[in-house]
Amino acid sequence: MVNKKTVWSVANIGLRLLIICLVVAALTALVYAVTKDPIAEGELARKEEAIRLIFVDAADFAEDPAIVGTGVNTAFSVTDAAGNALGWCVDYTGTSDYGGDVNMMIGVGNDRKVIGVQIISHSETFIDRYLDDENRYTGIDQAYGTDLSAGATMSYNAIRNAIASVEKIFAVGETAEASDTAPLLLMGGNVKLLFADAASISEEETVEAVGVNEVRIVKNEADDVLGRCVYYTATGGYNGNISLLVAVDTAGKVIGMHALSYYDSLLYLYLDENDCYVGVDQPRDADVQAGATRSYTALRNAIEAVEALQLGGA
Amino acid sequence: MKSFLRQLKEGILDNNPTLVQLLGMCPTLATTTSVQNALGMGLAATAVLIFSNLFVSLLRKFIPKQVRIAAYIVIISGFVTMVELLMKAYLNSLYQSLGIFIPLIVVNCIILARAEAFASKNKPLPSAIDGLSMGLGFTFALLLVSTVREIIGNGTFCGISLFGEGYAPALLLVMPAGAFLTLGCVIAAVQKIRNMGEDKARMEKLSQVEPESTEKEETV
Repeated sequence: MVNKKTVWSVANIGLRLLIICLVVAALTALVYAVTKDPIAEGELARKEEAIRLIFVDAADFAEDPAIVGTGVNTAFSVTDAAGNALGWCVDYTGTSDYGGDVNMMIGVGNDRKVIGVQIISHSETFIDRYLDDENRYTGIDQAYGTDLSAGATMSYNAIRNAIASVEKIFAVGETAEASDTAPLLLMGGNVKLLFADAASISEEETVEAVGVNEVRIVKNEADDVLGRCVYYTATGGYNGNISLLVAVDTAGKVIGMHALSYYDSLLYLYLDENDCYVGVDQPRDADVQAGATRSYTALRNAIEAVEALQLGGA
Repeated sequence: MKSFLRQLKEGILDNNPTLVQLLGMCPTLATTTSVQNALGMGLAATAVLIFSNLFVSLLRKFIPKQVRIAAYIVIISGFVTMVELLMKAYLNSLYQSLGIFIPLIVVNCIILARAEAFASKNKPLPSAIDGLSMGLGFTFALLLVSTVREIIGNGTFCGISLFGEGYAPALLLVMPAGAFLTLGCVIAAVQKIRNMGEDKARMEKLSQVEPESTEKEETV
């Protein structure tokens, strides 16, 4: 039998602690409300300053919604005073297991290589070793692993992984001199490889199915729907999963597939020079020899799975 | 007023939290690479000390003794978050250079120690003054260490070059090992000065006692 006095005593302690927590939370909320706007303005100013530090000739920049990917918060296309495209600046949040996320602005030149990384916020003291006085990452020209002791810190890895991820997002297509000739990127894949007339991609559509990560409607310049682009993870590939961009026409039929990542060194046998699958129009068993490899099977299964979703319609 | 000055002297000199009580070593070692950082850290910790002491003292009869440490930690972390938000909004460059050490004020043992040892047993005003004196003592210690480290290790004071471009700074002092060496030397110097003061006082006391004992010996 529990003593009533003991129960009341415990409840009393808990209640008092709760009141203290509430008072402190209320005070903190008050300070948060006062500082919220200045903090947001400060962060925006720091990001703008970062763009100008990376691109010395930058005169203007505009949000580029076509560039999306894991870790990418916002991407800006940057132009000089004459309106010439200088490249892009990606607001990227890298994950670090050490002391929280690392927020950075990553500059990408017209040659699609990372030309500068400006750290906006981080929570590690040791990271300063890799930054100059203006919070600029100093090891951009070094190969990953040059500084072995640096590899031991998680935040260093977060920066290096961010550079690799952003370069991967941009590592497709020809060098763009102006934004209108730039590839339309989704998860690092050029949507124009699948829809030649693609001009824009919509916000994400909600489609819940195994393997489907994202679905977006693709439109041409006249705003006509060309079809849908599905970011799909095909399981069962040799040595691991295959990440794909799958193009579906307005009738729901798969018309193309672009491999974003794979671990099978022989997958190139089924891909063209742009990593697009060459056998979409062929029946599943057209290539008997190919049917013996697991990655080929994974590609064919992906086509069937995406067509089963019946994603047609304008 | 006398009591206020006595309390200030206690925190800054006689019972300095860093140089005498050896508390708050981690931020002392980490943020003393420059005088500006040290000053920012010291003032941020002082603000947290004053308000947490005041708050703990106001609630001293309300906080159950069984969960007092938990309650202190909640109060301290709340004030640290407030200081962090204010610094992020209005002193951003200082906030950026201090980085992770601002949220780490929560675990600075000086603050918890003063809440437990002083604020929980005293009225609000003396508790706030205690927070101020201990905070200033902490800031003084940080400034002392950072001045040595910045001048010798960087050739600058508050970012201003002192010896020109020809000076080859002893970089060791701005590195972690240099922090330990400098802090050790500063503590030793402070202890020496304190001991000298105590010795002098003892000698004075003895010199007052001596004539009486000689008189007694003569009688024997």
